[in-house]
Formats: sequence, C-alpha cells, structure tokens
Amino acid sequence: MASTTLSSGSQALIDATREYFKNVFENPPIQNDDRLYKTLQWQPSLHVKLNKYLDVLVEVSEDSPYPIMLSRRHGAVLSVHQPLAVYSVCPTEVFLLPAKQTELKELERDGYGLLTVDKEGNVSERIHAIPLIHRVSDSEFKASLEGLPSAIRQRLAQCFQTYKNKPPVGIGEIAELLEGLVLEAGKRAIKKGWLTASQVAGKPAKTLDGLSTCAQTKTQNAAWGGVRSYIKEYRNVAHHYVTKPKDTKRKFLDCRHALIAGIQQTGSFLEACRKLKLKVRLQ
Amino acid sequence: MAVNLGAGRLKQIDPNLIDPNDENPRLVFRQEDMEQLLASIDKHGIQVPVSVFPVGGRYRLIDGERRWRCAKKLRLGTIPALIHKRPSELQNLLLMYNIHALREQWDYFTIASKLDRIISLMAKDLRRKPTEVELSDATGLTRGQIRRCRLILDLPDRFKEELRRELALPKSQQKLSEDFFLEMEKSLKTVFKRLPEYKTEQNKIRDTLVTKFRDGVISAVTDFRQLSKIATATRQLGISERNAKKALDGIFDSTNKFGIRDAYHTTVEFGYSEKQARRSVESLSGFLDDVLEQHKESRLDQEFMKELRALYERLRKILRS
Repeated sequence: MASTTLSSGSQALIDATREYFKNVFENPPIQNDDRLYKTLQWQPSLHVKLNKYLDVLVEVSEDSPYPIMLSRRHGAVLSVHQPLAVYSVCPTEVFLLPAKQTELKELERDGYGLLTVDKEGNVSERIHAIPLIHRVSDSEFKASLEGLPSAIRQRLAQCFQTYKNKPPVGIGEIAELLEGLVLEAGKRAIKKGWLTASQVAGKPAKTLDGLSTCAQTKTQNAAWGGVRSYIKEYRNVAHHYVTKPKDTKRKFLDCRHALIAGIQQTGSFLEACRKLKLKVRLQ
Repeated sequence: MAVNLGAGRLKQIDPNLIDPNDENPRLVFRQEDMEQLLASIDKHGIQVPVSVFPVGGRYRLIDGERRWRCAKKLRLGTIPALIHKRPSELQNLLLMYNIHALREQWDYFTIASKLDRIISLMAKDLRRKPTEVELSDATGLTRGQIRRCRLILDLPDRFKEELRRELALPKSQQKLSEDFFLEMEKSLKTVFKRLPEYKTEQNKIRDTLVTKFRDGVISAVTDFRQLSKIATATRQLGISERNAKKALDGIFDSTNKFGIRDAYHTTVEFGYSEKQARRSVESLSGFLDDVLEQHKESRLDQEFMKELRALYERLRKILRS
C-alpha cells in the first residue's frame, strides 16, 4: 500500500526519508503489515523492515516534530510485543523553531526518534530511536541506581548511554561490569585466605564456583547464583548471530528487563560482599 | 446552473475502496487542520458521511477527502458514505466548487486550477463564453475571487508550474506563495498600464522579481504595493516619468541587489508622505475653522492646546526658513 499522507506537503518528506533508509540500510524492504497497523489503528507514513526482528515506523509532519498521531498512539505502540522503533520526521526549519522545543523534549521523553529534512532533501538524524520495547526512561534508570556506590553508578551510567543506542551492547557491558566485580571479590577472598589462587584463576565462573563452595562465603549463594546466571545469559548477547528462537527473544525482547535486572544483580552482589566484609573496588 | 445529485444512499464502505476525485481542485491540505480533524475522528468517529459515486466496483469521492485521508491514516475498517449516481463532467466540477469553496477559504491557485475547464465546459453548453456573473452563479465564487483567479490563470505555464511545485513542499520550506504571485501580478498590471513599454519584457521582469524575492532582496509580498505606487507617482505626485522609470529599471535589473523598498525610499516615499501630511493639514484646518465659526475655543482640551502650541512653534521655524 502506498504511504498515506495527511497533508499535501508531506510527500516531499516521505520521499527524502525513503531515500535516507535506502542509502543508510542498503535498500531495506518497505513493509505493509496489515496485522500490525490494525492493532495500532495507525497507518504510518513509512514502515521499514530493517531485519527480521526490528521494524522502523515513520510518521512525517510538515509543521510539528511531534505529530498528533504519535502522541495519540504512544500507549498502543508500547503495548506491541515486538521491537518497534518509531521516528518522527519534520522539516529542519520546524526543528529549529524555539516554539517547538517543548514538543521535541516530549518526543524524546516518549522514546521516539527524530529525523529532519532540509530544503535540499538531506536527512539528518537528530534523536536516535531505539525500539520502544527496550525503552527505559532517564528517571526510571536513575531511580534504579539508588543505594549503589558512586563509582558503580558512574559505570552503570556509561552502560546506559551505550544501551540508549544499542541495547544488547549496553546489556553486555553490564555483564562485563559484573564479571569485574566477581574477579575483585575473588582477589579479596584470596587475601582473606578463604580461596586459593588456583580456585580463582582469573576467571569469573571459577571464582563464583569457589565462592559458592567456600564455607565463609556460601551463605551468600543466592547472590552468587544470580550473578552467574545473568552473566551466562547476557555476556555475549550482542556478539553472536542469532539462530535459536530462545536467543532471539533474549536479544530482541529481553533488553529492557535485562537492564533493570543487571542493576539489581549488581546491588545484590555488592550487598553480599558487604555482609562478608569483602571490600570490592573497581579498577 | 443547478447541480443536484439527489439524496444518495447511505452505506458503510471500506476507505480502501474509495479513490480521490481527480477533479478536486483542492491541492493543499494543511497539516494543522488535518491533525485537528484526525484527533476529532479518532475520538468521535466520522459523524458526517462522505459523498461518493460508483466507478467500476470502486467509489470516487465527491465530498470528504479530508475525512477520507484521516480514516486511512487511522486504519478505520469502514466509514459512512452517501452513494450518488455518477455526475457529468461539468456537474462533477461544479459540485466540487459548491461543496468546498463555500464551506471554507480556498487557496486561489486551488480554485484557478480548474476554473479554466469550467469556463470551457460552460461555453460548450451556452454556446458562448460565460459572463463573470454566470460563472459566479454556477461556482458560488464572488466576482472578486474570480478576478483574482484570473490573475493566476493568466500567468505563463512555467510560473504556474513553479507555484504548484512550491505548494507541494512543507509549508516551512515554501518561499513563493500564491499571495506572492497575486501581489506581483496586481502591481505589474498597474506598471504596464502606466508605462506600457515594460510590457514587452514582462516575463523577464517576472523572472527578476521571483529571483529577487527568493534571494530576500524583495523582503515581503506587500512590497509590491510600493511598486504600484512608484508607477502611479507620475500621476499622483507629478514626478517625472524619467525618475519613475529610473527606479523601476533598477528594480527590474537582475544584476543588482536593488529592491522595491530601496527604490520606493529614494524616489517617491517623501512625496507620498507629504501628500498624506497635506490631507492631515486639510483635516486639521477644517476642524479649526469649525471651532472658530462656532466659538468653541474654550471647549478645546488642554492637552490638545499644548500640542497645537508645539506645532505652531515648529511651523514658525519651517515658514521662516
């Protein structure tokens, strides 16, 4: 189905955006997913299928960075259980208007991306859109950091910045952070004489094995177990080609859950270490 | 010329079975208006049926393109529609005008784009060209609107095409508007009437004015009113034709950055201001005569008297020099 435009000046924006996706993503298929549109009750200006697991929906507007269609369908888009990234497209002149800055903030707050089109038809990405199913707001993220030491909060904030652009990579970084904490805890346990160097051997999995069996530390097995399964699940989520449905789910649907769970696991791990008087410091 | 297709039969129709009407002269659908309608339809549904006629298993719109566009955007399964019998070509066109143009302010380019066809179809029926009154009666447009349409209709095709392309851009990226062409054409009409020698170069002049407007040398469409005033200054202010032409030559020269405001300022602005001041002096003199005649000096406001005294001092200075 051809794109449906509301206003007469929209077609130029659609044409420029179509060219942009063609050039940047090597001619991805433009979709017509009736089932999806029916659920959303919204015919987007463009629907680009970037890959099997990621759809990009585009809505153009000639005089607003946050078209009414997107604000009215925010709840519906959030409730679709598949990764959908949504871009608004407006002319550069509109994007630069001081009067539109509040709308821009609202657009970003609601997790939509923004592309602008100049007079020559050049498209610029102003706000990157990640799938809304992965979206975690700044305030939600900040609230989840409560009670953590500042050094850990800073590292997690870096992971969150990565997450905002590439969610699976951001999750992988949290798993790496947890590995670092495990190795530090292992070093402290060796110093205390609870574990031997061979029990740790610079490997997180071995260190967790050691902590789980050691008489002084096995009281915190719940925390060690949680960290172990998190690392196993998400350490390499961004690095492997997806072949199994289970991996697909993890990579494309679980990111939001994984981000929050990763922060919780970090908190539980540090709390367990504190109880055992293992002073864990990040390098 | 009456256009009546009867009451029509009400039916719920899939919007995907409806096609827009090629004869709809309306070319511009503004985002803001459309979004307001979209929000209303999203909330309350379509309350007023669209009007269509059947064409080979599908339907063509007579009235309701904005509702139909919103319905497609909202993926509505069906919308209410009144199904009429198929109108003749002239009926179809006249319906568009009578349904739409009377309901809201249309852009002149929109109206003008189909007016030519209506004139030729009416001429066929009447066996003569319709008068302005007949055209006004058939289309529901006022004679003033028809005259303004003609200004656009009479533009050479390439300028009409330029305007059509411009209207297809997002509003924020449009530089030329139909107001620009209307103001330019009205002022050029005055220029050519007063100084016919410019008429031979009218398209070159139009090109220069379009370029100067795009480049910001002519900063507002209202500047064209000053262009008319320069051309009429020979009669209104008694300035020499040579001076008026010198100013116009500067404006119509594509190689400089000389705008209408510059030309107006350096040639006729003072003269027009003086003329306006003279009218004010006449008006003030008339009032003062009345005051003296009716012996109402004591009723004059103190503030006004203060201003009169200050004016008297300024007048003495000017009259002494």
